[in-house]
Amino acid sequence: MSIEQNIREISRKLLSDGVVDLIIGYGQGTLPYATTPVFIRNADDVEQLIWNPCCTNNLALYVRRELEQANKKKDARPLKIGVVTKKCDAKAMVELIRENQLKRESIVVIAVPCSGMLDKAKLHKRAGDRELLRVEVSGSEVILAGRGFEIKVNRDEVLRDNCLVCKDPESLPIADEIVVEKDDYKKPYVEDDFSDVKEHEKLSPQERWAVFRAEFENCIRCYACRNACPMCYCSECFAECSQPRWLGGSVELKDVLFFQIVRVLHQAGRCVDCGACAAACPMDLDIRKYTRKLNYDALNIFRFETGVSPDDKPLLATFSIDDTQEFITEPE
Amino acid sequence: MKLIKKNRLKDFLNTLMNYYDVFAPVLKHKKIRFQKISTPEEVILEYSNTHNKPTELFFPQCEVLFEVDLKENIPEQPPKPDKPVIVFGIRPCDARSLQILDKVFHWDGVDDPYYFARRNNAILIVMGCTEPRSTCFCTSVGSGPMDHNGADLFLTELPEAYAIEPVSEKGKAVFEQVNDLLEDATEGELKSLAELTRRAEQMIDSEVNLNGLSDKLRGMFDHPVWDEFHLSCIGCGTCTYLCPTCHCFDILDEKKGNYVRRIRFWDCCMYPYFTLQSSGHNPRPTQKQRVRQRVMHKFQYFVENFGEIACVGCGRCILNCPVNLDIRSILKRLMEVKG
Ligand code: SF4
Ligand code: SF4
Ligand code: SF4
Ligand code: SF4
Ligand code: SF4
Repeated sequence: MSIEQNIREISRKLLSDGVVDLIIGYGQGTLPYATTPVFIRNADDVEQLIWNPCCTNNLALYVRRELEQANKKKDARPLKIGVVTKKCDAKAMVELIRENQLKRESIVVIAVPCSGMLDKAKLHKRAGDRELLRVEVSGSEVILAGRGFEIKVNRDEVLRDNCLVCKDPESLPIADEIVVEKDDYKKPYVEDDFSDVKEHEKLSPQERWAVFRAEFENCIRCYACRNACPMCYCSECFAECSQPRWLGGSVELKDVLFFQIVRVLHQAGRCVDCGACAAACPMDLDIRKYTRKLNYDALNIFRFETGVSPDDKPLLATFSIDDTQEFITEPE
Repeated sequence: MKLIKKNRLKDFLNTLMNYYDVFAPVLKHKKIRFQKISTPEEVILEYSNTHNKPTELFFPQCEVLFEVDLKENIPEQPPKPDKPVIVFGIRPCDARSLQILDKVFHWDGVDDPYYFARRNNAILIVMGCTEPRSTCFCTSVGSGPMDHNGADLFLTELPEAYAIEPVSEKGKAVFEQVNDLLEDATEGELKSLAELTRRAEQMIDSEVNLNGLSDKLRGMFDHPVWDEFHLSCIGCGTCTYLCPTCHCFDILDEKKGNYVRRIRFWDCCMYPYFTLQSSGHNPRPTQKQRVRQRVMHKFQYFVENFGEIACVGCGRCILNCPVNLDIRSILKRLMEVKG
C-alpha cells in the first residue's frame, strides 16, 4: 500500500463510520508541480485524495475557517473535520488550539509521514526557467521535463528550505490516525543554526534597510502571503482597517514595507515556519527571512518554540519575572 | 515581406530609443516584466510571456490623480509623459487585453484621461508566440498566438530574423523610421514564416469550448454548481493582480500636513472588503459569491456590456494561483452542467 492509499483508507473509514463530516486533504492539480486542496464529505469520493511532494498548502487554514463558519450556524450539530496533516499543518493547529481558534475535539488528525515538499521556484530554476510539463518523483530523484528537455535532479536539492530544517517530520505533536506507510526516500535534516539570521543581524541598520528594500519594492501587495498563512486569521486585518486607517493605499515603498513589517511582527511567537506564505507569494519574495528572525528571537530569548504542545500557553500570553528585557530599547 | 536580422535587433532598438521611450521585457528581481529600457542589452528575448501584466504600463497599480497644497490651494496635475512610448515585445493576448481595457475606460463615451493619456501616446510592437505555454488558451477566447488584432507592428521570430509587418497607421510610421535596417525576406524565410504561424496555432493544446457560455450563465446566478469552486480559494487576489483584463480600482485621499493627494489603486473582487459599504452591509459576504463574481464578470457581464469576453487566455491566473484553482476547470464544469 502507498501513503496515498493509506490516507484514502483512513478517510473512507472516518467518513463511513460517521466519525467526521468532512475530510480536508490534497487533490490532483492541473499543473505538474501543483496539488489543490479538496473537501470531501462522501466516502465514495476519497479517491480524489492524493499524496505527493507537492502538497505545499497549509490546510490548518481551511480547518479553522470551516469550523468558524459551521459554528455560526445555530443549532447545527458541531462539525468534525478529518485533516490530512503534515507536521507543519499539525504545528499550526497546535498554535490555533492554544489561541482558542480551534477545539482539539473538532479535528481528527490523519498524521502523514512527510518527506519534504518541493520548492516550485527551485524547480523552475533548475529547469532554466523553461516551462515544466512533467515533474516526476522517484526515490531520491526528480525528473523535470518540458519541450525538448528532460533532466534529473537530486531531490534533496529541490526541497523547500523550511523542509530542510524540519526535524522528525514523521512525529507530529498531535495525531489521531497514523498513516503507517512510508516513503522510500528520507529527506535530509539540516540542524538549524540560524546562521543566515545571525549574518543579517550583523549588518548595519542602513544595510538591513537596503536588503529589505531591494526585496519588497517588488511586492504587489496582493496579500497572498497573509491569506495563505494559517496564523493570519484576524477577522479585520489592520491592512484593510479604515477606522482608523493604518496603511495608505499605494504600492509605494512606505506602504508595502509597513504592511510587511506589521504582518511579520504579528507572527512573533506564532509562526510555525510552514513556508506556506513564501510558496504563495507570486513574486517569489524572501519573506521567510523575517519570520525566521522572530522565531530565532523567541528561541534565543525565551527558549520558546512554536507547535510543540497544545497544552502550553502561547508565548505572548506568558510572563515570567525572569524574562530578559534586553530587547526593550530606549529611543535614541 | 520585410524582416530584421537578429544581429541587427540591437540597432533596431537603438533607433527606436532615439525617438521613443521604449518599454520591453526585462528581468526584475527573478521575474520578467515590462520596464523602460536604457540599453538594448536589458531586453529578454527568450520569454513565453511576462510574469506581470503589461497593462500595468497604462493602468498602473497606483497613480496620483491630483495633488493639492492646502495652504496655497493650488491643485497640481501630475506630469504628463512627453516622449511617445513604444512597448516592444508585448504578446498578442496582452495587446488584446488593452483593447478590452479601452472599452472600460471609455464607458458611456467618456475617456478616462489618465489611461488614455498613456494609451494614445503608445505604439505596440507585438511579438507573435512561436512557443506558447501549456496554460495558454487564447484560441478558446477568440484570439490566437499570431493574432494581429491590437498590434501596431507585428513581429514573428524566424530562425535568424524577425519578420516585421506594419498593422496600423502608427505602425507604418515606425516602419519608415527603421526602414534602413530592414531587408526583404527570401523565399525560404517566407516559407518558414508560414510554417511557424501554422505550427504556433497547433501548439496550443489547452482548449476550452466556450460556445454559448455567456447566454447560459445568464440563468445560472443561483445554480448549485457555484458551491463547487470556492472552497479552496484563499481570496488572495493574485489571480486578479496578474490578470491583464482586470481593472477594478479604489480611490483614496491621503493627507500629510498641508499636502493632500488623491490616489487610485487596484482593488480586487476576491477581497471581502471590496464590496463592504459604509453602512456595514456587504452584498458579497462569502468567498462563494466572490468567486462567482470573478467568473461572471469576465464571461457574462462583460459580454453583456461590451460584447466580448474579458479574458484573453494568457494563463497568468492559472500559473500563479497558490491553490491551483484553475479557471479552465471552472469553465469546463460550467459548460458541462445543466443550466
Ligand atoms: S504575497 Fe508577496 S507580493 Fe503578495 S503581498 Fe505578500 S510579499 Fe507582497
Ligand atoms: S508566516 Fe509563513 S511560515 Fe509562518 S506560519 Fe504563516 S505561512 Fe507559515
Ligand atoms: S489566486 Fe487563487 S486562491 Fe487567490 S484569490 Fe485567485 S482563485 Fe483564490
Ligand atoms: S482570467 Fe486568467 S487567463 Fe484570463 S486574462 Fe485573466 S489572467 Fe489571463
Ligand atoms: S496566451 Fe496566446 S498570445 Fe498569449 S502568450 Fe500565450 S500563446 Fe501567446
